[in-house]
Amino acid sequence: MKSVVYEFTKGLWKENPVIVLLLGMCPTLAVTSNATNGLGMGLATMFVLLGSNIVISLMRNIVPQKIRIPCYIVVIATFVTVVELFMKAYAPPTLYNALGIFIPLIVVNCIVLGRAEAFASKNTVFMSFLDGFGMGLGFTLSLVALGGVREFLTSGSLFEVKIITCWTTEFMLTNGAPGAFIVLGFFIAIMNGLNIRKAKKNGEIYVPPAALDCRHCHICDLGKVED
Amino acid sequence: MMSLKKTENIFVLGIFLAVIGAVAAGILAWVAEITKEPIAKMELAKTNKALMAVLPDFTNEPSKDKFVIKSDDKEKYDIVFYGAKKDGKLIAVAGQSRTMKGYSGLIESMVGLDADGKIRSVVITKQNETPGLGTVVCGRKRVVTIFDLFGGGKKVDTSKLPPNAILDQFDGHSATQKDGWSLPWKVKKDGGNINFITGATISSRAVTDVVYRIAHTYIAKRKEILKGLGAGGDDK
Repeated sequence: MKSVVYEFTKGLWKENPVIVLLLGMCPTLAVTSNATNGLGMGLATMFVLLGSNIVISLMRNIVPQKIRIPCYIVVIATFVTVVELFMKAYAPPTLYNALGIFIPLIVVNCIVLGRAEAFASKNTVFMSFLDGFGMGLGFTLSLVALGGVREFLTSGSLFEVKIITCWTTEFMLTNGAPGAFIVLGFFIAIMNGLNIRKAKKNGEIYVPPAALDCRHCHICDLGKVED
Repeated sequence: MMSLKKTENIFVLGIFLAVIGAVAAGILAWVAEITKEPIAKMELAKTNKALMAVLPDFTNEPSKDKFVIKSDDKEKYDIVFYGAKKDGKLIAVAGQSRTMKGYSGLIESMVGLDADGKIRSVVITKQNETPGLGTVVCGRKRVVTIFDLFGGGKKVDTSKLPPNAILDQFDGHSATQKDGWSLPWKVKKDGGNINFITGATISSRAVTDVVYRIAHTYIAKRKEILKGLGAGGDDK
């Protein structure tokens, strides 16, 4: 049962979509100006990821190889539209306004299509569910962490609740796009630092997981003849 | 089924995509149908919240008591007037309109006016301005501190709007010659009387523009608007 646990937990740390895979940077950097937005975006993406992984895994034996990407996109787009409609109807208006265009843009989020192509199209429904759940959770947690750090550095608050009450002037650098890159850079540095240290302790040289390598994703091979 | 996965027959591929698309469309139509009512409710709740903020206590439903004035200027944005009535008598109106002159385009504002055209309060209902600059002009945000959550914080009067120096300066003014502000209203940088935020002149200008347009239209077309809102007993 080790692999079941692995499929779930890999998204949280070892193959974390934001900090290790560096996928889906557009929503990551754009909406994480506070932790609440990060959480909203993360949950929306997680729902899409779960749904698309399950459906694509169900269809994996009947989808013609030649048109699999368009089929995946239709499935993903359907889930995204469902999420958007439900958010419009039930999410707090401030959250829906803050996420704005980035909800429909989940369609082109690399994580969703990446997991569909690299995982769900080759694995069972249960495994795909775990993979989607783990990846979605990893994405959500990273977004909340990123948003929390940025929000705290900007105005001393977390989840829009001021922790340091005397902090009245906002520090705009971390609130804007440059700050997003800087904070993300620190996150990646810390992540890599921890991994390298851990590898050194075991007397190894740290290599990023092989599955993250570009060569393992076959989206670029679409035009080539399938075996 | 194996053949379906390996097929290269273009008709089969086309039909497959069509079927997938049809199923997706069916699901979306169903979801759109079941979320239609909640979405409409949400929109109404948003309008009602803005109306409550700018109008005094009312007993009717202003969101149903509305009157649209077609805009005659270049931007062509209609102004929607909502009437607040107490016991059947019109006590105040709220005007809602938008402008595209904001730094990121659209700014939509709701302005509460007394029956004689004096501004009660201004809120911005839609904006997409730069955080930290334009949002200082447009935002009315109540800061929640950690002390508020666990008690011990200062008591905040939740019946009042959170203050905003730019939006609050319109309070008590009306778009008439008597008011003291030169018409049309302009920010001080353009030779007018309205304070603005340095670094957010464009947002300040846009807000001034839309607020002035609402206030001015009310003064200019007062009779028409009051009649449209069904004001009983007022100077007809």
